Amino acid sequence: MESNEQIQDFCRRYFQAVDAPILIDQPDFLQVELPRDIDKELTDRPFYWMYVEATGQNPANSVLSLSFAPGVEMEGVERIEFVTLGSFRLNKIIESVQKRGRFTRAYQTGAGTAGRALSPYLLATFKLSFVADRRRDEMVSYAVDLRSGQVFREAYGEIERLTLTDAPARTVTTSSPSLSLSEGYHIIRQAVEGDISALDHTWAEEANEHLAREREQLETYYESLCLVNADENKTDGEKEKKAAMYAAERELRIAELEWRCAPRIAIAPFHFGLLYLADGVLTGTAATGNRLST
Amino acid sequence: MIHLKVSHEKFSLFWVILSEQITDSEVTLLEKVDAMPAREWEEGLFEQFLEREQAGDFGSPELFRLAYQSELTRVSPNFDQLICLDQLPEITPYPHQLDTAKKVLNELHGRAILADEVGLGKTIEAGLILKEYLIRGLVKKVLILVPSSLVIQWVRELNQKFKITAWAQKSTYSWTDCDIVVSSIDTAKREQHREIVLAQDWDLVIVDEAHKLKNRKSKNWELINTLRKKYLLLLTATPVQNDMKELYNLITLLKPGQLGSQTDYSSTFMENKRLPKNRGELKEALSEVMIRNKRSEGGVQFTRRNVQSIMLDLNEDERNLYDEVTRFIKEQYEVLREQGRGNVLQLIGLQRQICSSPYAALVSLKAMMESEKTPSDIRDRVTQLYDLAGSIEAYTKVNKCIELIQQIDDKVIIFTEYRATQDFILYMLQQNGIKAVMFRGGFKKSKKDWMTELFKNRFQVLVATEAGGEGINLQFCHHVINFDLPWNPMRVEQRIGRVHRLGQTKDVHVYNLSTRGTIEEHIVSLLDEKITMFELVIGELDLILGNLRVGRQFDHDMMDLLVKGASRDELKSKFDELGEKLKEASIKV
Repeated sequence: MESNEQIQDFCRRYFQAVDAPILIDQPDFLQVELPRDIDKELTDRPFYWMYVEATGQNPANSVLSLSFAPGVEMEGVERIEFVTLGSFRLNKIIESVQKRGRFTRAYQTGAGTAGRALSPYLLATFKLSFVADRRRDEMVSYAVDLRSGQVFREAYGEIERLTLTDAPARTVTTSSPSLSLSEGYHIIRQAVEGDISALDHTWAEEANEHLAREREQLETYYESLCLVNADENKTDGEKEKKAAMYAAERELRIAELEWRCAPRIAIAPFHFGLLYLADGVLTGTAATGNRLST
Repeated sequence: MIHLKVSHEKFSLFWVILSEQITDSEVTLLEKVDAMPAREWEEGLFEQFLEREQAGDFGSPELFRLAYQSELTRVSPNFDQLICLDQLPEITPYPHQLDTAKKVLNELHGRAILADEVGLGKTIEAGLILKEYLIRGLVKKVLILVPSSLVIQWVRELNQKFKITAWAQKSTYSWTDCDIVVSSIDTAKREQHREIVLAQDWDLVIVDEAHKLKNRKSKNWELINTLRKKYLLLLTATPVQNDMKELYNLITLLKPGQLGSQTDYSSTFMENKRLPKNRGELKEALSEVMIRNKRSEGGVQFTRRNVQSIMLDLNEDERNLYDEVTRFIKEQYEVLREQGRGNVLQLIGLQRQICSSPYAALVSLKAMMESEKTPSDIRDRVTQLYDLAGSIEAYTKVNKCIELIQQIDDKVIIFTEYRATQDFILYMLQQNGIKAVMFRGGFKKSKKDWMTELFKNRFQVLVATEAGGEGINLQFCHHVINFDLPWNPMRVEQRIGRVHRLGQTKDVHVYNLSTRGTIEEHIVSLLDEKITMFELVIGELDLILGNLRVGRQFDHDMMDLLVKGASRDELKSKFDELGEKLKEASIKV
């Protein structure tokens, strides 16, 4: 979603997918009617809906007018919103999409599937985040054949190209899994862990070196403070109080430093699908150690 | 919303042995394990999937695809680029602002002093950094501490320019309920707030006008030091105001020990309070925590500035008044000097006022007339001068001013030092059918905003007494008339800087009005010659102006020279001396 057209295309597909009637569809412009459930997800006015529902009213659906280029005007249309990455409305639409599209069960259809048995696969996508004081992310995907336990890496790209429906065609049969979903997921997790450990972790080594340097600087600094304190012309009570203060401050600084700079990899499952696919559709890629470059 | 629990799953050797990734030697494996960063699995989503599967509650394949596509917009594909720019189509940062933001993120690890000279856009840099951290998910909870007069402006800029939902602090709940809070430091340190503020984990703390943290023993410094924070940005154009130790104190908030212990710092880097030593080393150590862009370093293109000095001849009445008042001041000044007491400031004031307008002088004359401290013989003299001033009928300067405004036929700002002169100008403009608004000290921010709006949209002229006007941008105006001239050239520069700054797209025209045969004539000719020198140190202007001692001493010295009837060369060397003091005060590391 980089260009205005791609953003408009995404919004159009979303409104179609949630059955919101599109009233006007022109270059750089969409006007759409919002069914109540969609309105609730996109407009952020819970009190209005509480009021409407408490008083049993039935207001007409509201209409949203969205432009995808700056300065778009339409005759007779007021309140046109300019939708860009990061804009409130697009964020709301993305929130709604992610609420509705995290989990699916789907069946392959179309060419080559008629009369064949479809096999069950578990598909999982993940967002991997390589985090220190900076951060880089990568989306990865894995599928596991729930009969054999075979893992297919980067499966999402292949699956995206297939035609899928949410109910099986009458001409196909489905074979039963020999692994449960949980067993399948366990296999995927192991594959993820394995692939991660084979990665190039230079970034983390650098982060650790940086962390060590800053830590040493902190330690030296607080040591010098303590020495000065011990040397000063004060009562022991005062010195102790100060030493305790420095110790607490040092702890805080070191905790902050770890919080900011310690390298770690966050693995966030993004979505799951139970898919019935024809055999041989997934080709799978072997684990490639340095697939994720740093 | 989907709520996920995060568990920290430590890497275990046991697992390595089970995995397919076992390599030839166990030794290399163990080494590898040591270098391995911790992994954090987000838990919970798979369990939700199982529940949905039980219930047969699924999204369509199309929504599944859209979800993936939408998440790609939330992926940071690299460590080191500014991905926030794609989401900020309305902002076109200057190259030095982009460089600064990148450097803070990549090299300074998110703890830095942004010390650009005034007018180079430190807030834009801070906004970019904040936005980048938010988009990358590295920051969520943010505390922004600014002078109370700037709270609303920060909130507005973040919301409008940067599409960041920030809130002005309103109650004790703000600290916990809002992710991004803007407040004044004075509010945050108040008793009912302090504990709550300190109890939060702040992903990012931004302090604007951070020179307010220069004193290590102050409550301000202590508050920032005690806060639990991940990233920290300190914004100040003047990391050093009076003492090199101030810089040390700021850096201790960011990275304790960066400049060694306090004694190390004093012995290694301080020649004296004001002068650094071992500059090369100091510069290097500072480059890891501070970024300072200067105007003189180029990169930022300013429009041209045309300065025109307009010399006027006083009419007979005005001439007479000026001479009388000046003679009176000279006599009094000498008497005072001999006796070593009395109100010198009042005399300096009067001398400057009489250059501005008879009206400005009237105020001081009246005060002297009414003061019980004024001896009776002098009182008679003052009364005489007062009557003389009141009897002037035609005003050379203001007439020229009106003529100029009519010629310019565009927005004009008129600066004067004195309120009485300001009232007088406003009155005369009104008489001539010219629409004008005014600014003066003590206006609240909202009133200044309102006046700025009026000036921008409806009125031709703004008459201002106050050069400062924190946070007011008047770039839409290209003409400045200095109705009178402050003796201190830096104040002149500060006035012009309101208009001639980043964002000004047209050339700026400055008109200095002065009258022949008066002190102003000296000042103007010196300014013409010396103004470039002051432009060089313009970034330090606020620093110097904040330092009243330098400014006052300058006024005294000038008065001395003028009363003594010093030569032009003597006055010139005074200006040079001031220039040197400025250079010394501004640390050039």
